[in-house]
Amino acid sequence: MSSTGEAAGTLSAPQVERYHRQIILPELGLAGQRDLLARRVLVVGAGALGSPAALYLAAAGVGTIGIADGDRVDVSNLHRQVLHGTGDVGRPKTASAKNRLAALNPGVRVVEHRQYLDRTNVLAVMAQYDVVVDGSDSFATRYLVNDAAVQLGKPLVSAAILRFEGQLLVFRPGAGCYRCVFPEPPPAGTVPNCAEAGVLGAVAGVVGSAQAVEALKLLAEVGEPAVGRLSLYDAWTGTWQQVRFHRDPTCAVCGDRPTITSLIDYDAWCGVPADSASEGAPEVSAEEAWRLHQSGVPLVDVRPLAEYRRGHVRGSVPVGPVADGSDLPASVAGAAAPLVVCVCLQGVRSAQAARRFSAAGQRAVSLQGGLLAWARAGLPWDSSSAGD
Amino acid sequence: MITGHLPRDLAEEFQSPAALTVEGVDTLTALWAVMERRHPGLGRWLCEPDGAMRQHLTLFVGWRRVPWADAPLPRAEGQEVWILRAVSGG
Repeated sequence: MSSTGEAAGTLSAPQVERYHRQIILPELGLAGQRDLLARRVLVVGAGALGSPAALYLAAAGVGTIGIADGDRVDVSNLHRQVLHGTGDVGRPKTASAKNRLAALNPGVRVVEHRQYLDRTNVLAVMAQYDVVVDGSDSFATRYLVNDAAVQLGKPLVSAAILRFEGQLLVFRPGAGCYRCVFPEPPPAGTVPNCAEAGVLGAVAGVVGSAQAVEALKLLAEVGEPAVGRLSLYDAWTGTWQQVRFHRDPTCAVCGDRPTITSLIDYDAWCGVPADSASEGAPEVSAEEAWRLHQSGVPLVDVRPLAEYRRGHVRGSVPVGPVADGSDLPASVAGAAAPLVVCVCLQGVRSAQAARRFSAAGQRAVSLQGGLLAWARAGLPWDSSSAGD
Repeated sequence: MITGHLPRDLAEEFQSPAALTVEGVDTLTALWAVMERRHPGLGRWLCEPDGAMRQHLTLFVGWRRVPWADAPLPRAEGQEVWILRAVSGG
């Protein structure tokens, strides 16, 4: 680990006062606090997980905190992304985060990386830090950060949340990586994100704070970091479970014969189209979809049934996530539909489904903006159990 | 008895409990079959048509990860089986 600045010196009186409750922990002590002040941590994503993680890392006195995010604050972020306030809406998340962390602890240095990490910049950014905390919100970034961490030999604290559940994984060089646990991402469009399936904001607080704890142990080299364990948090039952994993000798990145030895096109690998989720998929507006439906064109909802039950376009038929090569279910195909309109919550998964149907020979279009656009247009929707 | 643990959203999708207990099976293949019988579609969601577990899923038996390629497994009587897949929310 790097050692700079205050590590060599003693703590000032204000520092001793600020960190006193931490310093009196014999496992940490003055030496541990000095270590923290000299360390550098990168938080990938100033979102739901990055918020509590960064706040606790700053409060604990980690000397340099990098924040990597290219997004801006949206009002829909605020129920879970506690780094940002109402007055920050529209601002870059890194700027908002920097202000908040500086207000919390002016003794730490916050470095903005106001960009989305990709294969052209990730190595240069991550190389500046001792530990990486990944709270990103896409599979492409998760695999990118993992592969870069393996290449650079950086410890990685990775976490993810969805609805009432969280996953937390800690990796040290040589002791397995994200791909040892999840060799492949789910097929694009089959696992919803928080925007689609929702998340209880406080779940991010629990899991992001746990990320901070693990990062602090790695940074100060104290305790027993949860390396080789996948911690599963279920807020619904209020339980944590842990399962164990080891480095997988067949892992494509850290295995005995790695097949991925340089950074790849992660969007393509995760099935994300290059420019937009709807690239190549014809889209129709909510009003046009309504007119098509009135003329007999089926509306097919491509989300999991549980999501469909929570709210769906009136008259739509649930067909579930659409994989490559999927055919229309017999119930729809039986109507010899020359055209179908694919529907999901926001129009992302429906665009993917429309492309897949089209590739399989079924003419399909996607409802632009999904159920949300449909509802905004004042068109009828239901949250009944129709389709059970 | 085997207890199979599923992600909550997946369990909800197939109207299954998140922790599914099954008596009298000693292989994962048998467990998948019971899951499919009790909750139609669940077994097919977990496995390819040839019975192999889908590659994006990860499996833990007795609290330890079992690489998917090694399934089906030897005796798993009394085991806790966790069926997980990556999520990306953050």
